[in-house]
Amino acid sequence: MIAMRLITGRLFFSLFTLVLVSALIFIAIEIVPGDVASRILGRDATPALLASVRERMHLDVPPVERYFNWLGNIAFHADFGRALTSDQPVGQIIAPKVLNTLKLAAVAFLLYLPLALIPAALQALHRERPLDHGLSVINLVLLSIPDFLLGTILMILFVVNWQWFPAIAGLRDTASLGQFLWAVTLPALTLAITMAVYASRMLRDNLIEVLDAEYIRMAELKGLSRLAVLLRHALPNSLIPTLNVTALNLAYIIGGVVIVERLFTYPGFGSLMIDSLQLQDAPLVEATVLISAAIYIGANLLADIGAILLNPRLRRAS
Amino acid sequence: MFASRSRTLLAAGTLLALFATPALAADRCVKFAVPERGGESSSIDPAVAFNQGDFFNVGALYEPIVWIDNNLEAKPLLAESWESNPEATVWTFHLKHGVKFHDGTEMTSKDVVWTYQRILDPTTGVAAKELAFVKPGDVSALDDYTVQFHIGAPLAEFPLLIGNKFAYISKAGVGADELAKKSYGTGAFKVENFNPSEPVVHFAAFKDYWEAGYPKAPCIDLVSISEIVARAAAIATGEVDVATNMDPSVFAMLKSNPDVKLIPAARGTVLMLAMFTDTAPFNDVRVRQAMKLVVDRQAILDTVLLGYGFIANDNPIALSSADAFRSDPIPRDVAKAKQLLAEAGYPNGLTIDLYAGDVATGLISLAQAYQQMAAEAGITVNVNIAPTETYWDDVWLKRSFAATAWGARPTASALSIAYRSDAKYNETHWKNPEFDALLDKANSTLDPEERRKLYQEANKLIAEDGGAIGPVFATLIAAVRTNCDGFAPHSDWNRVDVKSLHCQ
Repeated sequence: MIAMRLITGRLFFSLFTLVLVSALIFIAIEIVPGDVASRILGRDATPALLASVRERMHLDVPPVERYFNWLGNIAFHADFGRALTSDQPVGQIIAPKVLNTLKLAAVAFLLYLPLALIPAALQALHRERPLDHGLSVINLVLLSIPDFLLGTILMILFVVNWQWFPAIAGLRDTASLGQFLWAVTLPALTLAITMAVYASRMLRDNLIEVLDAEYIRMAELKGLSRLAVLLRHALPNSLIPTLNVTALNLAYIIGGVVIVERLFTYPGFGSLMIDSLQLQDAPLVEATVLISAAIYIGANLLADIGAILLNPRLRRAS
Repeated sequence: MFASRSRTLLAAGTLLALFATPALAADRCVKFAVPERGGESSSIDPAVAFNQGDFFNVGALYEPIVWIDNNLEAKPLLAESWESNPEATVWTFHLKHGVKFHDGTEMTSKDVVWTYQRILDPTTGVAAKELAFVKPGDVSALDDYTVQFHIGAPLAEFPLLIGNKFAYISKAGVGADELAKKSYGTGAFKVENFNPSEPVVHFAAFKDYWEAGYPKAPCIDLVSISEIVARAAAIATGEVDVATNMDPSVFAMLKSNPDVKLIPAARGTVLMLAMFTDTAPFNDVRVRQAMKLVVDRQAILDTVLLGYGFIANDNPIALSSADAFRSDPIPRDVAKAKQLLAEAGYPNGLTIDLYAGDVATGLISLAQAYQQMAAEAGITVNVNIAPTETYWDDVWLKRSFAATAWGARPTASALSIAYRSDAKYNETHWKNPEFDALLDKANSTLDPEERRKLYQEANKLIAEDGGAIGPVFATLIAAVRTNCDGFAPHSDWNRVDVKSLHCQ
């Protein structure tokens, strides 16, 4: 019961945060100097021309009225409005980009699992030995490299020097699965490494803690091999805190794709976000930011619910 | 004997290879990379072109009546020839015969009249503003191949100005909705179905193009790669054949690559620091001169642009142009600068705020280099970096000392757009009646030599009295694979000529 109440509370709180975020985005866009009309007309804007463009784009309606129209349409009709620059429905523009980003994220996640698990397991098994220290150093180095630099380094090594992968990850829709995987390897790897370094550090410490537990010694005394002990007994129990990190990593992807998609010219959600910001296309910016916020809040919510459900004290109370 | 025979054999082999190569390796589709396509808002309609991808589209699909070449001179394109009355107020253009639009119909004067009337309508786009000297009613067709413009005031450079970057001829009667989806031009390439969200735009050669033997390439695939590192990587590995807008950050990586050549444009964008001449301390001409004298032009060219550019003499006209007032760089003179500052009442130097934004390659580095150079004369410059996205809206024309950049333009428009007393973009608040009179006189002087002298005087006035510190021109640099030929970036980044481009 406590768990149920806690979860309902979290849900309500998340929804409230989302509405708050929507208002903040809207206000931020209003405050930013220059609107899409002046962006389209550029240096050549005259007041009369600006007024006519603003009228065409309904920018002359009072902001508060526009906000509630906008929020209402999203909440009740899942309608994000029309993009100002291209006059296309925002939903239609965003949907294929989100799909592209999901594909990229899926590949990144597949690479993330071994990149996080294998070094952590090796380190835990060779605790305080050269292998452990060596991997720790590598981990720390990667941890301190920001994703845009990591992506650039990977590009210079794998694209320019060795020519293993293409520089442009964006392909026509007609590309085969093999071509797609080949093209997205580098951006996915950049995302995967950035996520894995955190998880790997955490997993190593958890594994070491679990490996010291009595039931592990019991398993060893039973005569199980080290690998079996690790896979069957230690890993499942040390994964729980790591799941939390993984949920947060999902939220990281939203920020990460902005940089990685731009660097590798991938036509996804992140690239769209930059484009719409540069064009100051308000409905598109608002929709993309709102969706990112929703994913971020959703990932945190999942992490919270996971923690609540996995917490034995709360479980027992219900 | 043996040696000579083997040499003959070798020569024969080489000859064979020479003949065989073109037959074996047919010219293929060219992959062309530009930095920005604007995504959903990109367009193939010449009247609303906005960013580099748009201007590529327009340049490949459409043609103007007058082409502006790399030396910024007017050359015939869809108009074969033109002439004016002695007052330079009535201009008559004779169109080329037998030019076909992409739909197979012939281009005639009614299409030219229609195009100008469309772009001169202020609700269409910004061309009306740039072509303010013509009204829609000034354009008329005398017969199928003759178009006449009656303009209010004399304008000796009319042919140059009418070849504006938006003035690309499209088929009469075709409106914005259709122009957004399909090309209705006379250009060497055509697009059948344009979709702004596709990552690649496919340009097919136009079979009925008026100039025999063109275009050289069977097709061009246009991609947009925003990040400079990715663009450089793509050209380094041959993923694309041409990549525009290379900047100093990747020269080192590309210079050592034997498969890539870096090709600079003939003219460039002038990078400037603009002072308001009506605001203290810049309202004293001695202060302005001192601020200009501290500049080491060669050092700025070498450090800010790594040598890829040209020196400028505080005005927007290239030193190599016949309109320039001097062909050698103005030398640096810190002692003189200090003396001028002391005379102006600043014996202990002065402190000023300079605003810069990343709106043109090298602009921020220029501000930083200037800061160092000015310090030697006792001028403390505080460099403020402003956000790129809102730079033109919030900083430019609003701050009394700000970095600015102007793309290459023909002399007449380069001088009038920002330096006339009544110029809308008078970024230096400079009002000099003598300068205005020189420009007016040049506008009504049809003799090119006479006009040239007037321009030289006008340039000298900007450099000596005006408020712009202009040390260098940054040239647009394209990276091209060595197996490609027939392409150089245009002096004006808004113009693209790809009909000779081809790759093996």
